[in-house]
Amino acid sequence: MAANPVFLSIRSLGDLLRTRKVSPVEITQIFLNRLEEMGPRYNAVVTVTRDLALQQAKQAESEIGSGVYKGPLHGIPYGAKDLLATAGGIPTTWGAACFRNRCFDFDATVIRKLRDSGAILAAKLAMVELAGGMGYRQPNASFTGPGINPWDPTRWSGGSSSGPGSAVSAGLIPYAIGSETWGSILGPANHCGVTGLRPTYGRVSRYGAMTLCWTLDKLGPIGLTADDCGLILQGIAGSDPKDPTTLKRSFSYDSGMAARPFKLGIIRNVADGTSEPMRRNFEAAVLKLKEIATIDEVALSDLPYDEIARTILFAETSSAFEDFIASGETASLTAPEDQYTPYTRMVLSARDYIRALRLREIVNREIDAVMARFDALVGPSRPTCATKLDADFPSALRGAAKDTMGAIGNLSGLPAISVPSGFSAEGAPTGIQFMGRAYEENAIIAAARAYQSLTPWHLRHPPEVLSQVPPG
Amino acid sequence: MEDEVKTESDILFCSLNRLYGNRFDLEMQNKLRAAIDTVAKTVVGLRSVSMAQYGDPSLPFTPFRKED
Repeated sequence: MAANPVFLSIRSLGDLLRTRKVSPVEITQIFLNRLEEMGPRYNAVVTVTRDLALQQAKQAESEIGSGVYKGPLHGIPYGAKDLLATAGGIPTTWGAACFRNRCFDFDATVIRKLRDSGAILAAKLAMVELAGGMGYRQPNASFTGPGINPWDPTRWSGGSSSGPGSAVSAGLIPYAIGSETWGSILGPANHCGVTGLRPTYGRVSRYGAMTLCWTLDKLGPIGLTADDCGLILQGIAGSDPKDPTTLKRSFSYDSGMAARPFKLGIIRNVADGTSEPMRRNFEAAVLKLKEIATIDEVALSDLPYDEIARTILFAETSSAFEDFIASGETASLTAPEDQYTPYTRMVLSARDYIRALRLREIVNREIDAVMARFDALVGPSRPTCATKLDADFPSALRGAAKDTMGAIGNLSGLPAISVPSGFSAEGAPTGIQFMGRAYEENAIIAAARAYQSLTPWHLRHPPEVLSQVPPG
Repeated sequence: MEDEVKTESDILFCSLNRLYGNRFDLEMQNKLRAAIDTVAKTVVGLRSVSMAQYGDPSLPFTPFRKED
């Protein structure tokens, strides 16, 4: 093998595969071995799909060998958060013990689209049980154990896409598909020092994905770079008759140079209440961004963004899991608080839910008027770095401080990308997010790519992991 | 505000207890009581905003015709 594939970007891997300098079977073997050997260290993997992966890799090898190259994902292994349905006897557990043996007889649309792109499904990855929708407040909330951070095994990987975050960070897999209802892609990306893209609501079909909240759930990639995320999004985006909320607008990733300077905005006081390393590294990132962008402060209306988003989340979750909660099955969940907290959402009134939806319409219009002036709003990806495994957090949704960008972005279905912005004094990664206007993934990816071209943070990998990367 | 939250919390807890109270022992009831405060504070915050009477909700509803 000419090059070691671990920690290579998708673009680089794709070039090597296309020019037949590496073989899909060889690189798949390497990642399967890493998933099996190192996955348990991080509680990152539910099922390694070895047989399927090798079968798909052999097919890719044959296709590429005969001159049929399907594009940048062809022949590259990936992992899927274990809330995406997979056929063929591969369990889909939703992170919950009571579903550990449950199998579907169909593939989620995202799984099908990636297969059609020649991608290789190598693993179903760990997640917080039921995507965190039951109200967990500490990391030990999955039947596979707490997600462990490759940068520091005493810290959490973030949730609810815990496996995708740690698996990509540890080089167990080149990229993964996660999901976000509120914070579940950006959080693990922030905590694990990788790049995570939350697409516009409806950009990616949710068919075959566990429903937590019909109007908040989004599927998106976690990878090593913003460019990787653009390539992956192009492979999974698109309208789907099986998911009527998917957008008719098509998405084509534009990897060319965007016009500069970028126009960036910062919500007034957005970093208030965030931890010292998050704030310090955000300020440093803003200084760096001034080399390529104009940056203006913006003030938002004084609306209860958190409460609006939370009411919709509580109401839709309690409906999506009504039978599960009412039957008492929450008693089988791992986190003690997940066993009783869901009941509290069962008494929300329809009137409050409709009020939240009416306020959502106001927020949608206001934020769009703000966003129309900018390529992106920037802010810390999360209020804190990865917390300790034994630490409780006040809110799974927003961590220790208000998460205004998370509340607005998810409430209004706006795309956002989190990229690494540095480290705390203890070596925990921090992230900066670029949040864009609806349907403007290309703008935020371009800004994030430009930031990554100026900074080294996305090129750093956990020291413990680097010592186990085979020589190239 | 504190009274309002307490009142809302009481109402919600009372509903919850009627529906599912027999499933929980005293220790769990106390945890539920604390957890429902989060929901109560959320809806009180939500209701603090005044809106125009005609403000539409953000809903994807469209009348259905199979052939469309």
